[in-house]
Amino acid sequence: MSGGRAPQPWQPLPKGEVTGTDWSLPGSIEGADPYLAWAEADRFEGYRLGEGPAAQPRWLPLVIELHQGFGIQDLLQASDVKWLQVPKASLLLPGIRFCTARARKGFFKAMRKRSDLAGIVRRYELGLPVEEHTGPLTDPALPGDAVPPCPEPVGGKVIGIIDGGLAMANADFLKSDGQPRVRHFWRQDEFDGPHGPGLGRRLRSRLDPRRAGPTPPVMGYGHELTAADIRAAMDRFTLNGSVDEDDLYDYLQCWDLKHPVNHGTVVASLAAGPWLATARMSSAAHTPDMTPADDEASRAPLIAVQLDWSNVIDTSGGAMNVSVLDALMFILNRVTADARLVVNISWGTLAGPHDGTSVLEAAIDHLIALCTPERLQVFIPAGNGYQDRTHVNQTLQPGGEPAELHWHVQPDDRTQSFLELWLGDPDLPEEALQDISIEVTLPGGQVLGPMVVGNAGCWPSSAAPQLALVFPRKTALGRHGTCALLALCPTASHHPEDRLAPAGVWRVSVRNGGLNPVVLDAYVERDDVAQGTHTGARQSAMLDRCYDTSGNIDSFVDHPDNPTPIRRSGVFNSIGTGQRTDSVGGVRFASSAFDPAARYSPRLPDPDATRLPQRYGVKKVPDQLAVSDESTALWGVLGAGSRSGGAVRMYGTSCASPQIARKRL
Amino acid sequence: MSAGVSAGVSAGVSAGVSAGVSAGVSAGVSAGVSGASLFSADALTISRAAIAGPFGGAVLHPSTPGFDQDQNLRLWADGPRMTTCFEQLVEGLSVTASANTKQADLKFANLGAATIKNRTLVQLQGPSKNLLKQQLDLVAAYADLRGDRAAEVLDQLTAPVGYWSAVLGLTAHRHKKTLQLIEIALGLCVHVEMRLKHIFATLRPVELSPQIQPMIPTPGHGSWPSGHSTEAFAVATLLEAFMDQARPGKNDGQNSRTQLQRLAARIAVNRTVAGVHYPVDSAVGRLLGTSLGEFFVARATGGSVRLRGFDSDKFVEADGAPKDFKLSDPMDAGAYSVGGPAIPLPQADTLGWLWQEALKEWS
Repeated sequence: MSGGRAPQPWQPLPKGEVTGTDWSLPGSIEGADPYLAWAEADRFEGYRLGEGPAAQPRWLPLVIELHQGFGIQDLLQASDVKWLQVPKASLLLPGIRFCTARARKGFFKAMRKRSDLAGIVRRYELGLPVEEHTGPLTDPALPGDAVPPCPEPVGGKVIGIIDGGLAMANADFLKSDGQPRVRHFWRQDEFDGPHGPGLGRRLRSRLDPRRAGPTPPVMGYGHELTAADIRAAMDRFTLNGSVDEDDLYDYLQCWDLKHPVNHGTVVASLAAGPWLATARMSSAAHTPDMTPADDEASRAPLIAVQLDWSNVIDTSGGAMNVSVLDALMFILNRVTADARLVVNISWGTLAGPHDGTSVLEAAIDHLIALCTPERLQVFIPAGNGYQDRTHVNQTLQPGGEPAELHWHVQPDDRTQSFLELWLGDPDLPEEALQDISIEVTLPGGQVLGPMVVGNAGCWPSSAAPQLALVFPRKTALGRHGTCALLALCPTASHHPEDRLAPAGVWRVSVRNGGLNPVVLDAYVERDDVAQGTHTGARQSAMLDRCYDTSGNIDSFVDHPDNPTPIRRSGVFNSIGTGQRTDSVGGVRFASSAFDPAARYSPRLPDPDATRLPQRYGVKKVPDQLAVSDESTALWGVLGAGSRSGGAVRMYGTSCASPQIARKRL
Repeated sequence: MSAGVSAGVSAGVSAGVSAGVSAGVSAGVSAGVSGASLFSADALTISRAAIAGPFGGAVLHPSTPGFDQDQNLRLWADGPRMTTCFEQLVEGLSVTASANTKQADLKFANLGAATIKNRTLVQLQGPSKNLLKQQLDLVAAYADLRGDRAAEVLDQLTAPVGYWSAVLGLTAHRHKKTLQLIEIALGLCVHVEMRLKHIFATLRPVELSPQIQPMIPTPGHGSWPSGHSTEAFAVATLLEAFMDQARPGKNDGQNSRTQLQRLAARIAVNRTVAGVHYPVDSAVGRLLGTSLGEFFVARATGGSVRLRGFDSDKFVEADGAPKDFKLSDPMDAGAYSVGGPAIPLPQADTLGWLWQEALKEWS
């Protein structure tokens, strides 16, 4: 499929300046995180906030998984705090095999040279190396350290919220005596200010610990407020018995709470506010009930984590792994040993193995297993991309026609785009992949020659790549089979010196030259603009002539008789496919029995269930459903606005998940 | 002459304060006796010719209005009544400017006193260009909120009467004279603020950066002080005092204070969101509006005021960062000051009459 132009060879990936890894060496990509390989080839150009400069990290944030039989103390003993720093929070649970870390060159060198360390670390994945996450922790764990005790641990039934934009002093989260139900609030960011592109960034100021709270020693970064801190700040801005929330949040350096709608506030109110989302809804069969809820969730103490805003405006892919795992570890460190904890994480990405074996999903599953499901339940939305054409499922027949993917990368996309090609199963012989080849045709017809497994390359040059393909036999991104990552530079930039990739239809041809059928799942990574931000991201998508975009009745689900490889089924939040977490899809409150599902949500049951085969363990359907739209005409549910008393409407499976968390407390 | 000027100002400011709360007032009987047209003139001429007959002299006996009586205000149409009150309200006000210190003072003299003495009510120190450049970072940052606040920004291009109405339940049919007090207060603000804007001649945000790109047209006058902020805080101050008097012993003014003040701050900040004002414009507008509101109340009821001041050089955070406008900032510290002996003000009879009539609307 050369399009008439002679194929050009891939150029070798360069040696990484931060890790010291020579990514052109055979084996260097095996078991590694391909995003790290691309980041080094790209010199971390993708890791920037808005129009700010590229990261130029000294330290890299990582999530690390250890081999069976090893613990965090083993890792600390085998490493040096000068080049590997682990938060003390990771020491909480005996037997834990996952942790986050900040690592610099020495760690990567030791992983290459020292078998003892490499024998402990099973895999590691890159987080978001931006700003303060590219420096050391303030108080990292040392060998023999114990976890610092929490001065005011929360017991009983506790709700944990991991999200962005949490109005912790909203009246919906106060007890009747005015004391905050938010007992601990940890924010992972280090700066206050708007997240608009460029203009407002001049104003960003470093958080003041006297206002935003001190850095929690267990985490080594960010800022923590206790309920007493929040109440004291509220008192400071109380006039005539009324809290001036504008000036309160200004004092607490929460710029984002100037917006009337904040994702985390809506989500927290659905999980723990005074209203059940569906009680106030109206339909032919339901009279609205304006009585406040009196369930345990409306009285339960809260522990809230404000994810670093870089997760919201990340332009590099979906590496929220470090932030989310740290958030979970913080919450676990703030409850008593016998607390019964329900955590909601209304967050997510699109690309990943989707079989629960990504590092973050495996880590969360591991934590639930260690804590027992009675003590820790985690709820995650199923995702909102059902109609976004970000998933292809196709079986590569031996010697058959190659799978031809048409990946439409939009013009004026100011951020990078990523496509993950997942191949293989645990029961598939490893050699089955060795005759798989991938050929890439750029918009305009330039062909980059076929690459077989075990290779990586970039183009047009190692020094200034516009794109890279990393195709190892084993990947850190998942445990089964492998993943080929195709990474592209943005298609547009304000800066003429920036490297760009061409916009248009990229053709990715995957051929199976072997003897066994191999299932391919291709996932486009999320690249859209989060509410309230202006990142310049434009979501890329797959094209196929048979895919039904007519908008007719019954055209919003897959039909087994439609041959298109683009399948809605399988589009799923890639952090929500774990074995022990609960994923939640969205349904309409008032709908016909014919189509009760929210248009954007994965469905239960799966309309495409008869499509076989699939890769082993891939999760396509949510575990639970909850209302996320009132009807086809009125999308969304009501939740708390950023200011007390305000009600705002938000839609998405982010709204469904906290309702189930609430029920399950 | 001056009445004409103020009427023009007053009419210009508040194109229809009452219209703001009375969309669709009855166009029936009252329109029938106030309108004039070629058609009605023709009809009246024909009608008179048909019924008048020979002229019989002055046979009616109306009571003659007394000379210079406040009560006569009830006889006049809204426009002339408000102009009359306005003229007396601003009698004795003047503005002086010092080129050396770049300072302007708003002063008041009791022109009816035996010894005329000019007392300073407000002292203002304008912003330097460096301060404006620093403040521009905040203006750029607030552009983030444009999507959230577009409706408010547009709706508040004219006097935001509907917002005060929403707080207190002002209606056109029941609170006609209360609304006239507000209209006169807005006239006072424009009267003073335009002179000050002219003196300080402050560059607008759009003039300092090609990237501000305001979402509404930048007004044709200087930036500092903010007129919207001045007017909103003046009306908040006025209404708080008024409501306390309207319901004696109930403190309904104080009970409304938080909402009135927050509304004023919101209106002021919306202008920064729109990209036409710096936060320091809102801050001085808060000071000036509060002072003018106090002045208005004192002139209507015979009270006193104190000297208020604003020093822009002090409108910066302790660490040198640009300072945002905050409602919780005390009005006696930092850039704001208040002090000196009480300055008694003579009651303006006409305004006092209107004030008392307006109070009756709430009884």
